[in-house]
Amino acid sequence: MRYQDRLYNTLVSVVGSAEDAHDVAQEAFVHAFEKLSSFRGDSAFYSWLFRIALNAAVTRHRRQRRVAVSIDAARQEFGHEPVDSHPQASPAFGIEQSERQEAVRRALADLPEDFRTVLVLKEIDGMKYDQIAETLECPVGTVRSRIHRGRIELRQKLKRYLRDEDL
Amino acid sequence: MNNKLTDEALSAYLDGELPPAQHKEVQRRIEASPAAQAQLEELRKLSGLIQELPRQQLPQEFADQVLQLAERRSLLAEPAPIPATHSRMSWWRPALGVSVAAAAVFALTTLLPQVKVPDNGKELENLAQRTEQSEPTTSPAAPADRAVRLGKATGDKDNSESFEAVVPVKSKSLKSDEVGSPKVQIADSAERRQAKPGKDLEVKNGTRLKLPADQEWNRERIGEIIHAVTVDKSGSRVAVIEVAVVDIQKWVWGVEVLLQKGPLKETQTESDVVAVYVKASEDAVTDALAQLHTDGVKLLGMEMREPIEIAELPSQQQQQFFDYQGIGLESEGNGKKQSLLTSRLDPPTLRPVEPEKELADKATEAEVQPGNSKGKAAEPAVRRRSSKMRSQLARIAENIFVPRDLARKRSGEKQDIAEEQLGVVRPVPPAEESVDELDPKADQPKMVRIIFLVQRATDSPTIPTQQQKPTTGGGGAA
Repeated sequence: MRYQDRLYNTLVSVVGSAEDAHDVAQEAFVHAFEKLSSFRGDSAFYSWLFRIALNAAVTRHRRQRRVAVSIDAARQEFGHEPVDSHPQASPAFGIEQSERQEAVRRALADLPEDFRTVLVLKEIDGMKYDQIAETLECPVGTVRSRIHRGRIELRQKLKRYLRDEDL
Repeated sequence: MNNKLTDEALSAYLDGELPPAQHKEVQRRIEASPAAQAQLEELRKLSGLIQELPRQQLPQEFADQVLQLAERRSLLAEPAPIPATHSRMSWWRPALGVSVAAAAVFALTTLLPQVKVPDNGKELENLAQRTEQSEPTTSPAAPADRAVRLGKATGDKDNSESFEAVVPVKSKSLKSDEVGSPKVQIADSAERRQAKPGKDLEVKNGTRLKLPADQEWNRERIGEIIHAVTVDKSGSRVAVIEVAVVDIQKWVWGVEVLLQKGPLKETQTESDVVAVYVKASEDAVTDALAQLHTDGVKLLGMEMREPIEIAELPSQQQQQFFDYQGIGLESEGNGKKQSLLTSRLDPPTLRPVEPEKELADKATEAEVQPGNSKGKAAEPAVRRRSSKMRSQLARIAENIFVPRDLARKRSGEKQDIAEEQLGVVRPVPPAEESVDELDPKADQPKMVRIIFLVQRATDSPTIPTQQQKPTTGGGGAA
């Protein structure tokens, strides 16, 4: 289906786990089928679809009471332990790309949900600010502020994991 | 421009999201400030780190899974609660909602023409095409027109083969995350079956209902859930059922599986999901489930519901129920059955539901001591009816509408499915004037009403042609 991989990849970073992202994407598409009559066409279909997915993720999150990638989920997804968040446990150098990606995922998962969502929509989904604003139904200024603050916070978290030259 | 604003502006600058004038201003400041350049570079690296995260793809079967789930929900959707008192038209609103949900699948297929086609060829557009192709081809009329025309020609033979109603009786429907549960059911049923060796398997005919002729029926109503009741042959038990409007063309295959228990027969439909209603003994259900699994079919889910005894209905409801008996009786003169479904009936007003425990106590009491005075005192009006009237009811064995409230009457029961749902028929106290006729100890097979949703396995073997056509049966898929 169109948008399925785009939605899925965005959701992986938003909800923090591939398994949850799969389930949320599935729920979103099914719900979109059921509620298609309510799609007024005054917004982009993907924005509408993502809003449904986001609501599904929130519902799921309320049930599961978790958002961040669990150690088990990380091990299952990436085949190794997630990076220890303790500064002294950070490797001084030689971080491989996969480990760096793992660290970024971990840091993203640790971000407040508002910041994480806008950052993911911007960096992974490639949306413009106005598209993000439409999707999240908030002002463009809010999007701009959240992206900025999200980046600041993400950078602070990543500094615990990565070498300076990686940042 | 303070630092905070500069930082945020730098972020927006990096994204190319500043107005032209502000963009130039920020660019000028960056060029003049090594610190701002370093900060911008840091943001750029950070952005790159996120963007380099590996992309993943959903499995190819994702689209199929979504469609199957959507179809299942459209068929098995739980109706929204309805107040106890409402107008006749309000009966239909939840059902229409179901219809809309089913129709949405069609709408989305046309709305998303760029849908990617997975390698296995299963995707939305094809679903719509398959659905249209599976439209009965015996008439050149447009689907909706044909549906309307046939719906009005109730007694027409062609009508009985076009749109069909099936009767999934709702109670403990298996949820989407309980798809594996039927396997447990099978195992449990098998154990029970072993405990009763020698009991003949029996699969009775599925029920085929005709749709009301005074309504407009078209493809958009496929998947719509309406309510009806059926009366068993004793005339003392009634099952409140939910009826899904389906396309008979898509149901033949599934019905054959259950009724014939033979090899699957290829039909013209390419539908992956079918729902099957069958009225069968417990053992027959076990056998049918096993049959489904051995014939390259994956069981997606099933649901069952107990019949409701007329004796358990409020007296007013009982009276109305009996008053209905003269409506839409079979026309046996020409051998064709007339539709017994009608929306002209006013909905009976239900009084508050009697506590289940009390009802159960009454039933048990009357069963143990059918002739004692206490049993007679608790006897509802229905059991004082004459055997002739019961015979008339038994003759009906068809359907009339009842309010959804009635269907909900026993939905709150928390009984174990294996122990209670498979043994669905409660013993009914015999009426005082016809004890022999309604012997509660009669060794009749326990009957269940089931909707199976089955799917052919993708690697299913070639399905041989069936030797014998089923004579009756009903089923369908939206």
